[in-house]
Amino acid sequence: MSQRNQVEYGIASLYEQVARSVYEERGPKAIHPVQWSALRYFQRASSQAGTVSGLAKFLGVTSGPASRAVASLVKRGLIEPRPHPEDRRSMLYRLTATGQQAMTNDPINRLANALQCIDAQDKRTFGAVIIKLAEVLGTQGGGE
Amino acid sequence: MTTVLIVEDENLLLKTLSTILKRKGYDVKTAATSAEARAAIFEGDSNLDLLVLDIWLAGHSGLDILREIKVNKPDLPVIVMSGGSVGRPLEQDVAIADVYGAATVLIKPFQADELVAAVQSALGR
Repeated sequence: MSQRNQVEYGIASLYEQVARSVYEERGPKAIHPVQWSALRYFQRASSQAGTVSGLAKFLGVTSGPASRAVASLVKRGLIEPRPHPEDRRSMLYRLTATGQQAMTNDPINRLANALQCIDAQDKRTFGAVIIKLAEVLGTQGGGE
Repeated sequence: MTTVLIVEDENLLLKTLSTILKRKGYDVKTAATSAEARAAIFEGDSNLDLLVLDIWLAGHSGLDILREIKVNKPDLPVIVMSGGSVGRPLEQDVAIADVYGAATVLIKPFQADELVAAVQSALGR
């Protein structure tokens, strides 16, 4: 490993550790990261956008994984379906009271709160870097 | 009068959004391309009070415009609209819009009252 590559590997390793530490809760009863993303979507989605297809676009996945995430959240009582007023083939989903309560413990808040301790200029720089990183990874496509 | 610029490349939606805000008493300007948007935002004395920006403009990312606004017009509030795109999760667009300080992100489709509420909130009234 070259000196330059070693530095980048170290940064990548720390970044991965930080990201992984966000989701401390483990086990069968834990809400999985993709389920947290789905809950965030249904919390932010406009009233007509809370559909399985909307979630699929949000997550960048096909309808199958999105449907499974929705089914698991409904089963856990975190979201609830209601008929779509303009499309009888579709259902709209929204957070239940339990889901709203769960969102108060969204693990991403822990990271967001930690970022509040970071100097404003450093935060701007970090934001720009992480956006660039996301763009580079997006351009490169999936892993090997 | 409060001036709102709507940037949206779908003509029908652009007209609909424009009509909604005009009926609420806003002075509405429109742009359908990145070039039109940049001209309206950065050239001349635009005097905009609010920008309503579609994040994807004919395959180009409106996030570039948002980035430029953050640098050159940091006090201009921006409402971002998105319905997702091919090749990038909407989740990432929403997060980037948050990083750039968008007042809110409206996920399409949304209703007229949701747009009006977002506009009023972004304008602080």
